[in-house]
Amino acid sequence: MYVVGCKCIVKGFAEGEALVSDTPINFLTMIDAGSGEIKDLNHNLYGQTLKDKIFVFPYSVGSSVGAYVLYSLKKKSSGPLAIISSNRMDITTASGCAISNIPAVHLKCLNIHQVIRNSQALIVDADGEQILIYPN
Amino acid sequence: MQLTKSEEKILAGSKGEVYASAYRVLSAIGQATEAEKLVPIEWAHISGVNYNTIGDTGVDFLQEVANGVRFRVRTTINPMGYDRSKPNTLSQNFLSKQMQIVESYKKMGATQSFSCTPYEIFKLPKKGTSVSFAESSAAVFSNSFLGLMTNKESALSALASAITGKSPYSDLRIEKSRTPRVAIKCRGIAINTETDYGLLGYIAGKIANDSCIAFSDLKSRMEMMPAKAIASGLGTSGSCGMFTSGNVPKSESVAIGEEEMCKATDELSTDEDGDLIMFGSPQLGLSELTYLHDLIAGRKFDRRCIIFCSRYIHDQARKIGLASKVESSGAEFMCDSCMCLSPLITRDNTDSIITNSVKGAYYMKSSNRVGVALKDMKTIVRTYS
Repeated sequence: MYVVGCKCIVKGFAEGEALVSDTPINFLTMIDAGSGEIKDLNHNLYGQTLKDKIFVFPYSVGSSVGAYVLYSLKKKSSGPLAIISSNRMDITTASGCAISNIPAVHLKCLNIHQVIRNSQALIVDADGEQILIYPN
Repeated sequence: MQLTKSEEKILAGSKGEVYASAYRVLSAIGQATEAEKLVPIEWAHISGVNYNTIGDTGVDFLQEVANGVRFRVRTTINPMGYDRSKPNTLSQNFLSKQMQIVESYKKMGATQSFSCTPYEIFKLPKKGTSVSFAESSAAVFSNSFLGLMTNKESALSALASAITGKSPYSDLRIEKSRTPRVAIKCRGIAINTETDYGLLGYIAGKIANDSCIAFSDLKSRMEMMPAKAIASGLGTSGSCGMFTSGNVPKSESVAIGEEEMCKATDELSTDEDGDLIMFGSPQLGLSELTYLHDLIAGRKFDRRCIIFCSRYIHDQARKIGLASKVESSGAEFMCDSCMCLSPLITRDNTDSIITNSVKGAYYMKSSNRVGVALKDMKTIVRTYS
């Protein structure tokens, strides 16, 4: 296991598997607000779900209403366990996580796959500003 | 981010859970944008009004928030799902949920604007004023053309700012972040129609990594129609909240050419033709209605044509006789609402639509799941009337 430092945006602690997206996310159009499934046909993770995953993605784009999608996912128990932004933490994601108590951290890393791979087991310790990564 | 003693107390719950949550949101976005402190804002514009966008969890959430909260600053709201003055075939469930949302915002003291273009309706604060605008096209437009200072806020961060009257002092609220480092150059392409401007904004949004980007080949003065088109295109695809036009010294340049324009067109325009025409994403203003009226010049549309407009602009157009002239083409006005995620257009009743709006095309295709023929207004009028 190894540890990388990160910046805390919303406090909390989570342990689970990573779901890593290379491309930015528009929560309103790409994510099913009920199930957490990625419904954008063009996305490389199409059909996979954010539910109970540690969702890693560069940043969110587009609709300002995306913050409500994160809240809806949390209310319906379909939300991610935690969020890691790999390029920048945007306001839509940060506010959605804050209102939903989803731990959120920022890990600036342009080639995120070198650090976190899909399905890799992780611990996000937002309070301690660290991510613990289990070997694959 | 450093909070004052009184802000700390509210965050800890001294004024109740809703205010504590509002400060939790402000703290998180302050952390995300590396703010030093919170500053007062003069105006909040909130998205998340259409029931189709926020759903049942949003309805319940707003009802909870509305209990015992009054907005601290002038607060306007985005379009809702339908036109209140017209009959529709929406389900009783949709109508009652939509009304609950409207009631919650009303209770908190929001102006019933139902508009994504508040900058065309309300008196503008002086340049340099901090505001909190969630609607992405309005945030980009206000930063880029009106000299207002807002980050590209979310529905929830603008709500938190409306409740507290504050936003983080960060990013586009600080003068030095408003100078672009990257400039978009147009390589061998002519940007003429509003749809070209929309596409250019849409492509740039995907490229931009900073909060502000430049279009070095565009004139610094722009008509309202292309200005709204480029702002909404940029807001749709990216997280960038501002642009400048004209040359920027010492910037790195990225070229957009024929290939990028074709790729974006292919992505958004899935069909050659459509069942109905939709204008108004963002909602049309008076100058665009006048342009449309001049293009129609007495002709009649050969299919249904819906014009999305704020009630305020519609009433003004009615007063000066413009609305009835436009209607004589067979086009109909749809107030209070917008084409994006409109519950009136579904795959059950529509195969494809025709629009000049890049933003409208994106949401019609990806959320309403109908086909789109993307063409500029002049071509649409010439082809379908």
